[in-house]
Amino acid sequence: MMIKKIYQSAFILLVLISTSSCKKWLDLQPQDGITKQEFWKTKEDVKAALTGIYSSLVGGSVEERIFAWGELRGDMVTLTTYASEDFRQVRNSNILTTNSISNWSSIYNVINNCNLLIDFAGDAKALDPTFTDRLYNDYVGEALTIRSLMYFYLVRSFRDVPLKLKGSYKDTDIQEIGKSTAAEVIAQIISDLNKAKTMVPHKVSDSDQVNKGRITRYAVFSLLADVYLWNEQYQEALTATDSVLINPDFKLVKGNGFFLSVFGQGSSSETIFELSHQSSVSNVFYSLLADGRRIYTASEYVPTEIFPSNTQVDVELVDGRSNFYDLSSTIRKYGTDNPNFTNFQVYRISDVMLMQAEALNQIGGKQNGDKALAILKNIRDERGALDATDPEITDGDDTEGIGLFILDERAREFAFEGKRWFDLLRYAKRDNYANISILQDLISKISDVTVQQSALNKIRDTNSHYFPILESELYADTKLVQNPFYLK
Amino acid sequence: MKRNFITTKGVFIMAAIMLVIYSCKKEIFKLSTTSDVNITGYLEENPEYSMLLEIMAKSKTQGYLGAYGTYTLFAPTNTAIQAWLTENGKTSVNDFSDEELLKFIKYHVIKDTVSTVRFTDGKIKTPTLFGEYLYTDVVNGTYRINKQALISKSNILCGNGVIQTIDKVLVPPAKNLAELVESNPNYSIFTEALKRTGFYDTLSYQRGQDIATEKRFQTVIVQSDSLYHTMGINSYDDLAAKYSTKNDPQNHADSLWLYMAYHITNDGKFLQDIASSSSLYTLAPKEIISTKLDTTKVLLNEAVFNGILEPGAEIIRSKSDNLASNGVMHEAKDNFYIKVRKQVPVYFDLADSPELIAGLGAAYHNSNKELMVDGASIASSVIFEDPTKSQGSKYDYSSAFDAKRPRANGDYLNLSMCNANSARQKYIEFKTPYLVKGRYKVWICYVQFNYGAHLQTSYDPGTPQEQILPNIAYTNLDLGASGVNKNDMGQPNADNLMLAQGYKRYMATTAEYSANGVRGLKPLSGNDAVPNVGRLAGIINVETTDRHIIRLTAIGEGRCATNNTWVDMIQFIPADDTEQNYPRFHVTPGELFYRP
Repeated sequence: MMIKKIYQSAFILLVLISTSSCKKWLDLQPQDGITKQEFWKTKEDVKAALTGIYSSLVGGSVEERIFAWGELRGDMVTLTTYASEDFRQVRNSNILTTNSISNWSSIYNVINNCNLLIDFAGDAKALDPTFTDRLYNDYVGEALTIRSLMYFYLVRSFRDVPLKLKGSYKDTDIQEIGKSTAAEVIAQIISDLNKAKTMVPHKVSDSDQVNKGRITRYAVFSLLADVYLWNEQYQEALTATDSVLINPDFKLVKGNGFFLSVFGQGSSSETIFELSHQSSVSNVFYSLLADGRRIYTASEYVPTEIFPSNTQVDVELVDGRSNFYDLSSTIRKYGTDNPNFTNFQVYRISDVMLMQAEALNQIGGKQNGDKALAILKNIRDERGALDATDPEITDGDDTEGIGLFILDERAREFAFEGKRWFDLLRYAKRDNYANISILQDLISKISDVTVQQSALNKIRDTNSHYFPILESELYADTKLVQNPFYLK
Repeated sequence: MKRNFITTKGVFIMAAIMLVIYSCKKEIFKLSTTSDVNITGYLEENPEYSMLLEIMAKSKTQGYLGAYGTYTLFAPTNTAIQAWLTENGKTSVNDFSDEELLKFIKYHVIKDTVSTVRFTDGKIKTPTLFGEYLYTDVVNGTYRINKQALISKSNILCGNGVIQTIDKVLVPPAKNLAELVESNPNYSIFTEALKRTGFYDTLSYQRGQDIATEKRFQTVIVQSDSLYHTMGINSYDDLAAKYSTKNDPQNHADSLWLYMAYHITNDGKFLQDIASSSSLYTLAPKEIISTKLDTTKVLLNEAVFNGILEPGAEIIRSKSDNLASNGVMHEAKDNFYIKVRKQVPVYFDLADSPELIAGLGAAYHNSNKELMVDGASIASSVIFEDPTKSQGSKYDYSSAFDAKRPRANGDYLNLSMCNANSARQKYIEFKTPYLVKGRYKVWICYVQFNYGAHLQTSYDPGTPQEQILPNIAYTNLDLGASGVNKNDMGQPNADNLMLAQGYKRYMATTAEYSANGVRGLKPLSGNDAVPNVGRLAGIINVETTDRHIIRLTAIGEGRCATNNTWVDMIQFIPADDTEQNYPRFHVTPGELFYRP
């Protein structure tokens, strides 16, 4: 009897031990995601998901990518000794398929968050009678726009990318989809944005900070204009910029307050859309640009070619925008505080103005060229641009001269805002790569002497203008095909 | 029986429990560190390398590339090897001797792991086992080796190194430099000159020949007949008439010999090596070619002399980087030759070197700008002992008409120097402007301050040409150290007395006027006359016309402190020049004061 009792208690003990040894045994919930039935129930849930999208944008890795993809291959930054070998190899056009700069996972993370909201906001709407159409449209429209913004960065950095439009919330959702061509991705972006432009309101809140930190209809039109310009649809781009510029509340901040108000404080009258960090999540720019172990500094070409000083008259004058770097070449656009809560400017009114100038100039004709020159003059006057940077074009028919002027002015206006390489590439690839020589000039400036000729040769291959797909992604999705430039 | 039953049941239960426990399986982890195959293993797995494997088997190198180590194999595919066989009129690899195949493998293997990120526009820094370098460049976006083979699959990682698959067999260059030059009919004048001067033999080399290491690889920069025609030189005789001064081209003093020697350098240098170094040492004794990269052009001997730009000779890229068994051949677009120059004085304002002006950018002509930023000097012409030391050194400009301590051209360098101190520089080096070869008196021009360091001057330190100059510049002492009393400095003979002691004024006095009619600032005598000191450090013998290094070293136990050593200029005045005192300088940049 005693023995039996001993056995029984030993049995119970063992069962207890064995069941607790593996937690999966009795748990019927999936281990790999949120249960969608439990989450998407009220409009508050959808709002929380939208907040989740914005916080995934400002977590650091997205901005770090945008900055690297937009500036690293350009001529406005240079690397310090603290930058890793991967960064240097990008500048030398020596990119292997294992180069970590081409890691796009943080971007696809945001895309997935958007996809989930787009897929399931309808479920919540069916359950929650207080969830209005207006609110539903707003939330879904914002998600569509942010997804488009992410795809726009991807298509400019990689050209052909996997176009994932369905959310993944459990492992079995992950499917091999291969990649879509740039044309397909851009067509998707344009169709999504045209949908979103009627869904998103002009204003989501009475607070400027909220309005500029979230997608509004003006942000949709700004992005749309940018995409049309990239796609060489100039008439459409012009119409899109008009839809933004019609609002007189967006205006350039005049005079000396410009730096402090637009970048220091943020949410100024110039900003259309910014990634907001205000007293919540600190941004990544302190460690990238201001820390003792910073990776990037302003390049030698910034003081000599982008912001040359006046040589003849008024030598002491400075362009209001050249305060963004100091004498030791530290980039100060995002301040030097640690931690740093400066917002990252995605679209400002000056951007839309210059996009309009570019669209006008490309449509052509003397009248349009003159309008483009007037826009340039307006911005330059407000910023105190120097005579040294004025090419003194008076002829509206000089499409080539005005095009280059706009490119140079964009370099000054958006210095260190993650736009330089995309601007250069857009300029180079226009009209079937009519201006590829500008990239060759660029390479001769940024690559090391020892590999300059190799890099010059590589840049002639237009495939090389886009990053490779990271090797580990190719293993994860066997349908993915590597950019042919990186196959050899 | 009952006991038995319990036991059976117990066993059953235990078994059930075990099953429950094992129902949750652990993941299986890989226990080996790597599953990578070695190079030989990889080749065996891929049938397109079967012929290469045959060659390796015959040359007994299979084991070598199968063992652990660090190798790079340039692996020609079967198609490539088949083409090579056909070219050589063979049907199978067995038609070659084992010895030949061993050489073949040796030329395709580097004992180092070289991935394509280490490729440059020149040689791979480690030679092949064959003993010669491989050259890499890029055509149509693809890496190319020795201008022969394209890489069709790069950076295949194996356990013991890297495989680079190539579409053609690499063949060592058949011709030596002499033969390579001779083989081009457009180089006939140059070839003839090589033969007449004896350099044809210098450039000849047969594999296996015993030769000094430094002469194993050489670089020759040729000039074509077409170029000579444009200069009115249509034959070797015309060239000899133009250059040969002694009518004996084998004589090392003959200008034609020197002219040809000036086109050859030891060490195999590709354009990339030439562009990234600032000068080439030629076979002409003590004569160098200065080199410069102007965006993408490689220019020889382009220099600013005496404020005048002398355009350089460009190297024609498309006709250069030609590989020979013993080096590289380039072609110059323009004639270049040893320039016979007259020695000229160089008044080197330390705060105005082109590199420093570029480094300062918009801060040029501002006050108090740090010269060391982020642990590095802002200008390649100012070299600190240890730029990470905490006490900074500054560039400083002031346009003030200060009679006591003005600076030449308004600016000077404000240095933190000490003999033995962890926070301040023991020495600082300056890269001079071009100095034409010859002997120079070196004047250290400083602004006196009580805590200034004691500076010893040395020339080209750390090279065989190093010269340490005898006189110390005590920057805490003023012109009174010359023995001439400050109140007597207005006397007519004061300058000569000071000069005899190795001192001089370098800033213009009130007695002098510049060509623009500007009057000098310094009083002739008294307290304000003495703080700007020119101190003769000694005489240097410059053997090559080039930019050189001057090092100022803090010695002794001077009361040195942070930012208390104020150095303004270094003047190099030909030693035989009787005029050592003038021109003098002024606060306003560019004002010169010649002897009244």
